[in-house]
Amino acid sequence: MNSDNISLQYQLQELREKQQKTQEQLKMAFDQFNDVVQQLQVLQLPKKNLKVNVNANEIKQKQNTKILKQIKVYKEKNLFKRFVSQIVFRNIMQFLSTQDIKQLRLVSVFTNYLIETNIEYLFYYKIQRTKYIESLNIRDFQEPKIPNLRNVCNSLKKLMQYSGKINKIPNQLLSYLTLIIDLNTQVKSQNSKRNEFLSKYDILQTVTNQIQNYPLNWYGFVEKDRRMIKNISSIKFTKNNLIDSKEYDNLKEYIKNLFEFSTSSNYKVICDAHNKDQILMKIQKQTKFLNQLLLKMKAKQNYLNKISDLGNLFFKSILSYCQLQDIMNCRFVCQKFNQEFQQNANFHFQIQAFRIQKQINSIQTNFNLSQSQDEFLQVNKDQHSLMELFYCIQKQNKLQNNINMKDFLQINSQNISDIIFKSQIENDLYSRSREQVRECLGIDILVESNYNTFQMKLEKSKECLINYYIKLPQLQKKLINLENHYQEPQI
Amino acid sequence: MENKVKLSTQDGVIIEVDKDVACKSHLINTIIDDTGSEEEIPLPNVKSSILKKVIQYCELHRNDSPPEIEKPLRSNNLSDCVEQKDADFIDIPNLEELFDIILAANYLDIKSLLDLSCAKVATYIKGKTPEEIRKTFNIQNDLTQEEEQQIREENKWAEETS
Repeated sequence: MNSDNISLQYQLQELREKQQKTQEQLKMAFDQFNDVVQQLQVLQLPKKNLKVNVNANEIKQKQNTKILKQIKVYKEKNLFKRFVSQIVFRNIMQFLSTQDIKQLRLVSVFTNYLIETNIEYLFYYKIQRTKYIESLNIRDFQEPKIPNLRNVCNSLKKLMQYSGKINKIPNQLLSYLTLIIDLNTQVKSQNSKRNEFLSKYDILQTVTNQIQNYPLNWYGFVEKDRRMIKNISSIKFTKNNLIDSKEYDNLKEYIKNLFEFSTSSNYKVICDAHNKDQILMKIQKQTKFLNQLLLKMKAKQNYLNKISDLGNLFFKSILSYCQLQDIMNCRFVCQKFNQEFQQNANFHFQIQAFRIQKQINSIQTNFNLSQSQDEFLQVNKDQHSLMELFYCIQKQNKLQNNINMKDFLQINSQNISDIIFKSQIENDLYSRSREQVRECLGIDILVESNYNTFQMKLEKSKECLINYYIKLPQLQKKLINLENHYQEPQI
Repeated sequence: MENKVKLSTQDGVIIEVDKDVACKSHLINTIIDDTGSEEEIPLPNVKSSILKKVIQYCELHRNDSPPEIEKPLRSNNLSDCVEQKDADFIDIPNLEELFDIILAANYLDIKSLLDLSCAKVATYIKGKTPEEIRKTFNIQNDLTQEEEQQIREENKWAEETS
């Protein structure tokens, strides 16, 4: 019995040493692997650099200078060609009118190409906008109360008749009137018209004319107009400059309501609903134009052109959902495809490397001996781990010392669960396993309902080992492959 | 420290920025969700000078989301169409820098900045003749007379049939 104990202790010690060694090796492999990932992320060529026994910084500097020189030589002057990808162009295009698009087509072959390949996108954008506008109903919104300014108009006319009184107009009134004029000004992008007035009389005359003939459209202000309204409303006039006469109460209410309405959060939606018919007519005209142009374009293109003309949208966005293998295969489709993949290699590389690193992180997090699912691997004093016991039961061996961690992957979870919970066999291995299950996992094997929990835990633990011993090396290999393929287009 | 994120740029500069500001970028937000905010986040496609501008924008809108810009633009003066602070921010005389911001906004997935910068480029096109556009963007007219004529006819045809 004593000799058995000594032998077991010796075996245990050996096993511990082995485990420690394996863990150290694995940690080292991880560190190396992380180094590779980091080097790849900063787009260096680690292997080549490592072989050369000179200061790495010097090499990096030289490389940078070389690249900078190359950039200087090949810098494309045409800003559109240099910066504007299809996706970026689509964003710009949405802000342009039909007239601008027509002009842009005439700029160069490239701008025309960008328009032609994105006309379909713009067309569907307009359809979407139409659907949104159609869904709006002005009755669903609280419309603003617009006070009538007829009385104000009469008061201003009286004021003009007695020109002596004009000089005494309070600043508040003058500001409100000029605001109305400014908001009514047709060319909004120009500087405020206020500077062009020669006198206060001019202001009164203009505003009277505007109130009578061109009432302000509350449903068409741009950001600049709304800012002006906000600015005027926030001015704190001194007592002497305030409107004291009641005949301008309507004007005060007008400005107050105007401020509240134009600064409300749903101002633009209410405007869209109010101007629904005009907007729809305008979009309809644009959509028809785009549709006709689209028909013309389609007639010119064949199917392959259509795919490859999608440019970055296809090669970057869509294929970022694909595996590396798909991307490699696609390079053989045709010259255009190959060319696009070479140009976008950097982008695809980053996505793939990011995915692989994410998987590695996840494996690292899950493979942690302190976590409950690895209780199967824990070894207490004078004991073997549960996995070792299970392995020996399955192999119908006596307890051995030289069990490789990878051997644990051969354990059949259901088989072991059946043995632990249902088998009537009583030998040293079986009874020790049952005791240890109770001790380590806190699972009572006499309770039948614990069977599934036990099996699930064992399966999870095995999964964890599979990830660590099989998936991880595969990922490492994949990353090296990725590195090699990434360098290819640069040569 | 938990509220800060380190961003490492293309030119090797590390910029520390508040997490809530950095998370205005969907890309950074996703990376933080996946891997946490302890480690440096590599942004190999963005230069430090551009990232600083992007951060400046995110800080401008730390507590709000800018309203959507009207499409198509009603004026080619951007301050008519967006908040003054945004118009001032994007008033960048160097077009190359403006395009770099567009690319960074696209890469970092900041829709409002992408919209703002694209709208700014659109103001250089809006209401301009082809020759003016060529001059602004350094574009050479490589259309042959026949091609130009064909485009004119297509434009006319599409307009007439509509």
